Amino acid sequence: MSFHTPTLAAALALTITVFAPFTPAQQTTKDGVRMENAVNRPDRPYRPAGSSDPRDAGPHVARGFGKVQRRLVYVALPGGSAGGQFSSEQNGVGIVVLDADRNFEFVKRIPTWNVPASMSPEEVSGIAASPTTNMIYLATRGRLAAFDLASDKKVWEQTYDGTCCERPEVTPDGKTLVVGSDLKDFWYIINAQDGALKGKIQAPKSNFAHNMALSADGNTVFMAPNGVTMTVGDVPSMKATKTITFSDHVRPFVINHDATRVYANLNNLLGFEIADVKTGQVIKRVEAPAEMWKPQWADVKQRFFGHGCPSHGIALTPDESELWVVDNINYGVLVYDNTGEWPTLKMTFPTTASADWITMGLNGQYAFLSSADVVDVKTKKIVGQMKDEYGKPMHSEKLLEMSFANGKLVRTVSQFGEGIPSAVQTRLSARQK
Amino acid sequence: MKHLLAWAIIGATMTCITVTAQAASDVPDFAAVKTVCGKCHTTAVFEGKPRNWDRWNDVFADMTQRGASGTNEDLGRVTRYFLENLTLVNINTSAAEEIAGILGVSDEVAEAITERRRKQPFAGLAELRALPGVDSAKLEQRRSRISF
Ligand code: HEC
Repeated sequence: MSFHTPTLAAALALTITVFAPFTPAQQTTKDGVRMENAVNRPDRPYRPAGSSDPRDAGPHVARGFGKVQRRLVYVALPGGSAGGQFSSEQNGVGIVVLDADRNFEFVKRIPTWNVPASMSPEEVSGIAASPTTNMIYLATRGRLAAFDLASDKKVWEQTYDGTCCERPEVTPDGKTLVVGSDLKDFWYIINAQDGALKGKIQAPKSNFAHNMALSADGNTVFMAPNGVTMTVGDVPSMKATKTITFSDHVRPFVINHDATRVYANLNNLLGFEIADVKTGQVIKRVEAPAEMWKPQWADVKQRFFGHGCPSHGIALTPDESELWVVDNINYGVLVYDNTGEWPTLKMTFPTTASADWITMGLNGQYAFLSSADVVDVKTKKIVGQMKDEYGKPMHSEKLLEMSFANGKLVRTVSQFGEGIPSAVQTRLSARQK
Repeated sequence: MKHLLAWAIIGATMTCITVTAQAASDVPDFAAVKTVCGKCHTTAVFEGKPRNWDRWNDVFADMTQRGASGTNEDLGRVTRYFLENLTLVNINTSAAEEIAGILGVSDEVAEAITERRRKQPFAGLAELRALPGVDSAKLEQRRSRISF
């Protein structure tokens, strides 16, 4: 690798100019300007042609620095209905892409499946993406498909044994997808490049496969049914290793950055239970203040939008300083401080519709709710609305924020609001300073 | 005119000296890594965790968007540090840039390697060691990140 310094460049340019009379007249700069014209003089000012590419300016600089970036939100449709408040078909079929840097403006709709008008489209059950494969993965109750992010074209589609598919997650090396079966008692292990089936993890105690979480290293999967017992599995060996039983049906849940804790929404609870993964025991039950929900929920005549439970939606901020919990009784979000021994309720805010899912965005800046609200995580203010090309709010629970450099995915999030090791490390090291 | 020539020579000599000093030690490169990449988190988030060059460029682009920046000089040093110390390289498929980095050879030698592999892929470290310009001590030190 060659290193030029501006001093050397200037010195050389001068030297060449000085020698100009002795050298052939065709001497030019790299970009073809004759040397005698490439000198800055009072009577003929000159500045070298600029370049936006830092590599032209001297030392060899990796192409990743200084690239044009796009930050987009990919919303899979139909992917939810604000708990029955709206029709999930009101936004049609496909992936709607919004621009996070431009107030979530509509960018385009990527076609996914051609669904005849006479048929109801299948719901998207989960979404994941990988910078390594540069693909986005959609699971529906019926199939699993991969779309290339450079061309927006479908790369592969599989139905497996006909019991595909629930939420997918992809390992950080981009090699493996772990995907729930459609309400059965196993999870598929799939080659993320071509969709080939590598095997299955059997989870007989967790029939009705539904939600899941994958540890940050991609080795441990948490497989939850709509039922009380969650199964923990080892991805490389495709074996179940333990179970964790909660006090009621497990609904959405999240894990922390090192997969030592599970925070789970449950049926009949506005709040969550915390399980310790090592011992497999529930170690804490955190309930929202009783007056917020107990009388209403106990009165079986009262109806609430949502998924049949007081809270359907939970997320850690990437740095784990806060835990956000959906409130399907009062239609808002409960924010818990998570920096102490146990989470404590610090504030609540209302949403514009029933929010039944929370996806934390890149860098912990925005939270995306299925109420169609985009929330600034720091201020808890609603700063945007996710709308389709016809201006209709999208209530999808299946969306990802993604960051691109020159058409290539460089970073994305998980559909599940899990803690991220580097973000936690960043917060903790800032505290020590 | 004599003046200018003298400056040119001094400039060139100084550059040579700096280049040799840098090559002799990774310390100044690591200082740049700390300056550019240690602002928001410690370098522990990536130290000892090699990836391929595409993935590092993804990280650089991601961090640039988050606010990482530096002088070209520092970004050049960060680039070199990652190429030399944290990048997984396949001698038969990786770009010349990566090969130059991990082997610590000039762009010309790296080009020669990519030229040679087109005709006949490299079978192992021994074949690399035999090439002119390849430092076998460096090769030994970095062999765990080299594949064929
Ligand atoms: C402006 C602040 C900032 C600077 C400067 C910065 N980072 Fe980061 N970096 C972050 C934050 C914040 C995270 C955590 C992001 C997350 O995971 O949500 C992070 C995470 C990471 C991660 C873990 C995520 C991954 O992709 O594996 C790596 C590796 C990393 N940074 C490398 C670097 C390197 C290399 C540099 C220097 C070129 C750098 N960072 C400079 C803010 C920064």
